[in-house]
Amino acid sequence: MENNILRITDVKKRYTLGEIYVNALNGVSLDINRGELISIVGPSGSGKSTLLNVIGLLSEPTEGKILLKGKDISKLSEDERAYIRGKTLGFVFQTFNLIPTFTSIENVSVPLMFYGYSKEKRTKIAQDLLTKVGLGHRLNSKPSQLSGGERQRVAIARALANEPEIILADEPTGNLDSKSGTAILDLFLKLNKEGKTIILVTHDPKLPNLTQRTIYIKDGVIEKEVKKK
Amino acid sequence: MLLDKFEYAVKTLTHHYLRTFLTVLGVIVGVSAILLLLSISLGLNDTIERELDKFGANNGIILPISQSSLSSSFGPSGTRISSKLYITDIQKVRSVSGVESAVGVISLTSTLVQYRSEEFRLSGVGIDPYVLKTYYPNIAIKEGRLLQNSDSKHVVIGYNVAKKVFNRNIEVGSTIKINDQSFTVVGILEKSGGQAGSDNNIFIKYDEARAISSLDKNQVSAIYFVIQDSFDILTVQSKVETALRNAHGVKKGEEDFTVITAESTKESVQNILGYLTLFLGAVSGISLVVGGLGIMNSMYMSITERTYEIGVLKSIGVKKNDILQLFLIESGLIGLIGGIIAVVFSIILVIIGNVFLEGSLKLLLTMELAIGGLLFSFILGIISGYIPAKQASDLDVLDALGRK
Repeated sequence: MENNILRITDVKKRYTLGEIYVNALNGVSLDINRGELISIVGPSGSGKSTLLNVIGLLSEPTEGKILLKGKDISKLSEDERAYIRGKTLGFVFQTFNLIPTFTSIENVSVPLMFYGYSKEKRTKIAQDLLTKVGLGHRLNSKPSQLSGGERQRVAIARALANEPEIILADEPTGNLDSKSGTAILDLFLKLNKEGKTIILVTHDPKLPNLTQRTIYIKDGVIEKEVKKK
Repeated sequence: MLLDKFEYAVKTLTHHYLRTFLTVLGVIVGVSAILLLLSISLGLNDTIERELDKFGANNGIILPISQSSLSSSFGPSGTRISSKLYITDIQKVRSVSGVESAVGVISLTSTLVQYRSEEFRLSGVGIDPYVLKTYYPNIAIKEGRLLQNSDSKHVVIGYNVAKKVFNRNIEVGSTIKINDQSFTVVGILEKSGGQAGSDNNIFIKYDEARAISSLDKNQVSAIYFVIQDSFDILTVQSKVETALRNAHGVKKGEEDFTVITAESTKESVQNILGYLTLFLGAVSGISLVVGGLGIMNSMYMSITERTYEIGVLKSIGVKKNDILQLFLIESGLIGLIGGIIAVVFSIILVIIGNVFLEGSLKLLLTMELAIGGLLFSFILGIISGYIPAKQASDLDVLDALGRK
């Protein structure tokens, strides 16, 4: 099996704001291998979240190529992109993005519901995942009844529901206190050890020390790459 | 998966229960309005048919009034142009092919009837006893007997005349005065109900009616005729009209008489009812449109409130079509729930209405109408929800998540 899971070649992303063009990415190239834990860091407006959106197929690149397991995914239909998001990628957002009317178990089950899992099966998977992230006792709590750290754990459990190969996390500790943030980072480390490829976008200064590789991005280009020794 | 989507939709609807309730209420009002108005219309149709059947399907009446004055008979009194029917006309009618029999009758309109110290003006009919049952096929005797040819100064009275009009009940054997002439009551009729029945009538022999009527000797108040079973009623009616036009020397459209059969009356009444139903349907259709707009408005509000949720769903891989389905199921459910409640509500109102109307008009809510109402509500929900649902499914994931 080829070790490379994601190859990004000269990706550009240009936004139009009225009559103004904003070049959020100005030719980013990056190779990511299976099982890697990468952090992407940079100041606000540097393009790091845009890069994550493009990698996560939430947004199409204006130019350039993205190969996922050797397959070009830069120009797919909306449904094809949705399918890859649902089956291969798992998202964790800074703001958790949980459905407020659903319990933890229902939030984790939602992605499974649209991919043909029976109710019994998805409830079992959701229970196992929530137990794995340390929320076995909060299965029926709604997001409003959970702390920030707990909400992020639910979001991570949801991201894991469809057994994705890559987890993309945008500022996953950004809204958490330091204790909860550390616990979430530990969880990512644990998942990485289990073989998941994880790409973290962060401001958190502690994170680059924990990841195998750190990509520094500024003005839409990769400024430098630092590998952990 | 469709069942899961239903569950998802139900969860959303119950979470926003107040908004759901108000939207469903709009559908209930719209659909109930249509169902009830159609029930009234169907009921009217049915009641009129039943009333006309009492008249006898093969029976016809010829009245000495022109069509135009008959149509204006709902106007101020006096607009009716008085014409005449002659005894010789009876023979003309009998000679028409397809006519089985024809007799003349004497109408006693607004005739003074006295019983003990009370007096009222009532309607009466003078008819040969042997044809009474032919031309009033639905009359049934409650007490006593019907008129016989050998009777003299005998009268048969309707149920209301016997039991309701006068303070004291009239019994068989009682004597009443009709235009100051004494008659013995030999029979009281069963209650026939409805408006065209015999409940308020008195029946006496033809000759005796003529004696107390102001009608000329060569005239009759009306001609009753029966059409043979094997003949087409409207065709025979048309022939009768031609025969009388010739006899009276009038052109088509200028007739000084009117021929009425159950069939022709049914046809014109149904025409009027058709327009009435259409009108009522259009009126209640407006409330249905309002109900539909309510669903649309509610779905738009739902999308605005749940833009973020739609973004989340898209980000975790839910496809456009699935999101479209989720919202359509929601709006369809609003329609269906509204429809179910509207049907139940309408059934209850129809039952209550029929109790109060006491059979004078029977509201009809048929199974077809109920099922139609349900289907219609569901489709209304789907149609009203389609544009908002499409808009939701077309949302850009980053826009929805507020990440742009």
